[in-house]
Amino acid sequence: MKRFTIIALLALVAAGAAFAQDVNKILKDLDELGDFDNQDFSAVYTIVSQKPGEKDSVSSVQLFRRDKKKQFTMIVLLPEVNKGQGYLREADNVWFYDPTSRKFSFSSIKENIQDSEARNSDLTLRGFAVDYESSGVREGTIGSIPVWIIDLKAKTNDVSYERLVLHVAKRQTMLLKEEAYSVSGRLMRTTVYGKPVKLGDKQLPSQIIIMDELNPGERSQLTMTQQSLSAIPDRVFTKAYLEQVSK
Amino acid sequence: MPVTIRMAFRNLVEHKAKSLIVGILLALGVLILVLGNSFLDASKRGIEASFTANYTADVIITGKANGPVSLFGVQSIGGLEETPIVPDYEKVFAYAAGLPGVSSITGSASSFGLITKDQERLEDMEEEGDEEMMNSFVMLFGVDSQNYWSVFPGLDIIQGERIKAGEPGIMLAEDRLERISKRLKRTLSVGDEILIQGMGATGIRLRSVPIVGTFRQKSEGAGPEQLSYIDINTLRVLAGMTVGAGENIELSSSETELLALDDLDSLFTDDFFSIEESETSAVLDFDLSAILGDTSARERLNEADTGAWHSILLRLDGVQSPRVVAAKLNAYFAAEGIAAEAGDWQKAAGPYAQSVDVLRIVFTIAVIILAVVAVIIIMNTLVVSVIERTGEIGTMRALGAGKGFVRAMFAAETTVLSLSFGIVGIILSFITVAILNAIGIEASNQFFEILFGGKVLNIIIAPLSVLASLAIIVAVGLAAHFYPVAVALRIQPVRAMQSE
Repeated sequence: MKRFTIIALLALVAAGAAFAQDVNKILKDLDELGDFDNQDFSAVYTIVSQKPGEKDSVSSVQLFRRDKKKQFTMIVLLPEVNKGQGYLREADNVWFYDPTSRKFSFSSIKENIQDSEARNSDLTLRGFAVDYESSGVREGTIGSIPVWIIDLKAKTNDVSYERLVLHVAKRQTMLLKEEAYSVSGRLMRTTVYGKPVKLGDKQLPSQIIIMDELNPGERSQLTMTQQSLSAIPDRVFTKAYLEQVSK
Repeated sequence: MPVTIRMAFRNLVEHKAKSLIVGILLALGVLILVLGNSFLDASKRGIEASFTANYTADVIITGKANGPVSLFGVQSIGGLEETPIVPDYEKVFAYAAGLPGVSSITGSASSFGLITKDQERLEDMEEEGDEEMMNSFVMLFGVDSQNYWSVFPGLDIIQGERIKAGEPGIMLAEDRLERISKRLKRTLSVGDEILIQGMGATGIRLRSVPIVGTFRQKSEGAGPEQLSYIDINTLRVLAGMTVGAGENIELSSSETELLALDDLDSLFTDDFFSIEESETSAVLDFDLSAILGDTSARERLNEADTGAWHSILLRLDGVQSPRVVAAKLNAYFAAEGIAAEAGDWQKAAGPYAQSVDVLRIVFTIAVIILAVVAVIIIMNTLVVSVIERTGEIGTMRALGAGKGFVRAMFAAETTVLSLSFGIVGIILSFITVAILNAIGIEASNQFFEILFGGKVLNIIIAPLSVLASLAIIVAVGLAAHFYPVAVALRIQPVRAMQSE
């Protein structure tokens, strides 16, 4: 009997370990989906933000990414008043360019984009497997799609949120919904990823909605268009390009 | 002298020890009340003088918003509401300038900025902490150079000069310049350019402005520490007070599709995975230099809106009361249908005045508690001292003294006692204040600066507070003796005499 118990326990531990491995694989797959390690990526993102009692605010940016070198260039296309403002990232440094004064300044990677609910990190590399560890996983559905509901806890202090709950489609690894919680356990923001498009061997959501759970009614939609994996010339990832594009 | 008063004096001398104990308590009570009141007055007067002289003037006019609007923006629950522009500025300015008692007037606007590094020095930034980041924060007062300095003539210029009309420039407080120099790792002086990042309604703006002067910060107490003066047009650009703050943008339905959905789970249907494939070419096939198209509208939209001001500040001649002038202005706004409002320095100082008020309320409550405790002790002592004299009251009644006479005699006794020791308390207060002022107690931190109304405690005793404290202490004495005398008078004279 004793032996049986030990075997059963060992089996449970082994099953647990196997499961943990699966979760890690899902997280790694998710990271890889958004990671264009050997290819350049470019797209136009339009962000429409709603706040109760206010007119919708609209921003549109052209994004160029070169993940291999941790570079990105982002140029504001809309609104007209901010047209040509640019962000250039190299590793963790971000330069901001104001075309109206032709000056650069340094800005943080965690800064919100154009006062919307979106953050710069939403448009760049995700690192679920690096920044978080799984603290539980269960099955569920959203709409009519069966999903893994994965609970993640932050491993580092560099992340915006302490806890994430991911809803990942079972049929093929694809993030459908993400809930972000603060250290105190409060739901801060919910993100839903819709209308996937295929780009090379990857799938990316072409519409994302981000809801600010602290301020009900405040939500932003990100829409991706003109997505491409075509090679981007090196000069795009320079300060000179930001200056030149606004001339 | 009426017989009751004479008897009162005689009785007080007769019961020396008892009179002295009660008297000392009464004197202490007056001391606490006078000192407490004077302290609070000093605090309020100090803050008011500092703010009206340096930042708020006597009356402020602002636009209306959901929360209270001050010189420092809107205080609203749950975030930063945009500071409203004074509507019909020219008209309001002209009317306010023409009011009797207004000696000078100016427009102003405010915003926050971050003194930022230029690109070449970026590598230094990674090591800095929050404190250094805070050092680069500036509260920007956009000034109308033509008339701002006549409303605030007392600004103490250390180097350089004041901002001139029509010229870009920033004036920094001496100590702030030092801190910013430290952060930027270069010694800044008048004439050097600094890069400011503004965070206004339209997003981030960068502007490089020359430092035209430095001044000595006069913020006694709760003043805005990071205050800097900047030319109004640069401020307008940094704060997003530009011509094109509101523009219309056409959106396609797919760009707002999700925003209209109530149930987002309805997105996830069975055909969710029928995915479109994007096209990929070898290199980007559009002209990378021309992604912006026409940018001519941008320049126009980013021009400073020269009619935009956050507030109008009025300096009065000292005869007219700020409240009366503000009331006149508010009546005018109501009659003309202008969405503006006027108020005194407390409205203008906004959060600063409120933090002072909160501290004052806490301190007032502490003084009241102290005063109540003192009063209870005084009352208790008086009650005991009257009850002890029940036998005496009985004897007087047996000898033919009426109830009224006994009451009058005790009232006189208490009044004489309260008044004489009250005066002793007042003399003690003056001595204490003289000693405190002579020592010159310095505020060791901002909390005490607010309490003291300045960097050094300077108490002046107001005549009204002296009279009020004396009246309170006499009233307390009378109230305290009334009940025991009434009890003693209810006892039959014979019984009362036996209790001796």
